[in-house]
Amino acid sequence: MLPPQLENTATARTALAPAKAKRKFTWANWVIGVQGPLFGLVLLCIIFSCTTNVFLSVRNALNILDQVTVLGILAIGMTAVIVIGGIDLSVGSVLALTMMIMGWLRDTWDVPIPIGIAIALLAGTACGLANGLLVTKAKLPAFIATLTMMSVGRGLANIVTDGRQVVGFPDWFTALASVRNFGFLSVTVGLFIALVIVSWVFLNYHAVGRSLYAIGGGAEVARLAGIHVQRLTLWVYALAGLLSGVAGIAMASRLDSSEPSAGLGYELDTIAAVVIGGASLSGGVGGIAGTVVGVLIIGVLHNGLNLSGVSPFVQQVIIGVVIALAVTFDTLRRKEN
Amino acid sequence: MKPTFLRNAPLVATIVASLSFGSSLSSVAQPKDVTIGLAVANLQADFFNQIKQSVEAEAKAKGVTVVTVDAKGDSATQVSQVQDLITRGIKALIYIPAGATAAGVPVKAAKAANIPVICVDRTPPDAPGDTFIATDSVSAAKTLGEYVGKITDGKGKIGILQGQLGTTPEQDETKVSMKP
Repeated sequence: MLPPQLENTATARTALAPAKAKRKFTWANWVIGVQGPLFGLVLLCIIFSCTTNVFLSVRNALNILDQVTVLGILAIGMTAVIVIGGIDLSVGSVLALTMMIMGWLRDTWDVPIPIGIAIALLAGTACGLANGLLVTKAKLPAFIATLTMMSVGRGLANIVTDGRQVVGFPDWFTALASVRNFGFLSVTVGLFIALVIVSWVFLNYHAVGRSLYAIGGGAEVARLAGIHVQRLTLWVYALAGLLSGVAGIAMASRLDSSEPSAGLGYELDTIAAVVIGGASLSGGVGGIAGTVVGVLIIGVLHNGLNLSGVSPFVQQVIIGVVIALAVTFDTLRRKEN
Repeated sequence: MKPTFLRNAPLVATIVASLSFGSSLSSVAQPKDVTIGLAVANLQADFFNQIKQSVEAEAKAKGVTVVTVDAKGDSATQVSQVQDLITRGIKALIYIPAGATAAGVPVKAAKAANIPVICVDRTPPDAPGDTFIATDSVSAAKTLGEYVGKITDGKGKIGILQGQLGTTPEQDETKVSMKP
């Protein structure tokens, strides 16, 4: 068992209790967990329904879902990374790289799209693995390791086609993002929802998922408790790379093209979404439900401000202020508890 | 421990303040007057910023509402913004594509909603707008190239500063400059 001085620490308890204690799921517990950000989201929706009469419609809600799909898929991977106490600045570049690889393979080598997608996803996972190796073996701080991948990935994305864009995917591929089956669900949105459900179940109820929180709470304690910290860290970064790849494919479908400048700056929005959702940048706290709310807040903000005709410069100020307010409310609420 | 009402008071105050702020904003522009959309590639460039200012000044003179959206150079953002403009019910779209090739998607979406599209400065090759307004980059580059050739007696080396790769002016200007 553990050395005596570590037995009572909270992380030790979480680490030792993974598969045996089943967390009781009640709707009450779930709502309380995302209460702060959820309240902010509802408030935003109310405000925008007052400022413009086209906000509150099914069609607009579906538009918002469309618009946040790419960000949402990135944010799922980022949630896992932030929960273990790391950070991933390379998500935008890996997104661009996978988009370009798939487009280039099809354009220059006539590789069928499904195979192109598989190769591109492998490349994305490889980038994620590289991040993980830099963090675990070279012991680089996550910020620096992923910063280098951000630069290398962007450069590679440009090298693939010498900076050119690839245009024109077949109709069935763009239909994945544009056609709303049953009147409301496009394939990319459905994929996003499926990924959310799977990752939520994994993080909350699976032993490995719960041990990620232990790593975030204290890596050394987790290691002493028998969790394979290095191996799991590698997996998490690889997963983030894979999900960046999936997001890249979704974006290629939405834009009907691949461009090397895609995803510039997306890492900031992704991190903002995860933190608004209640995650702590020092690790150990956070969850998929909160992240989804954070992603929706960002999507609703952009959409509502566009619909209300607010000037682009004022939009930037408002978005910054709202993000600061959202995180402040959440931090104050948690301190009160 | 403060009573529930007092603890919630700041929240309630925020809601009330936001609702009154919201209803005052609603008087700004509802989509029942004529509204046109202006989708700019990147307001950081003064060229586009001047276009925005001129459009807004002219619209004000004519009594038309202009909704401006700035893509900050990202095509994906622009696709979402044009989608929102269409939801808002614009009668026409002035469109400066942010990236040359994803540029076709907003045009197709606008056409599907029966909204005329005027492309400015850059046009998507696969989905051109109803009108295209731009400076003639090809002859501009030709004149510049000839001038440089003249002042250096045909022996000068030209450095080409390429702007955003893949856009219409960049491709046209590079094409011409490459000619001897």
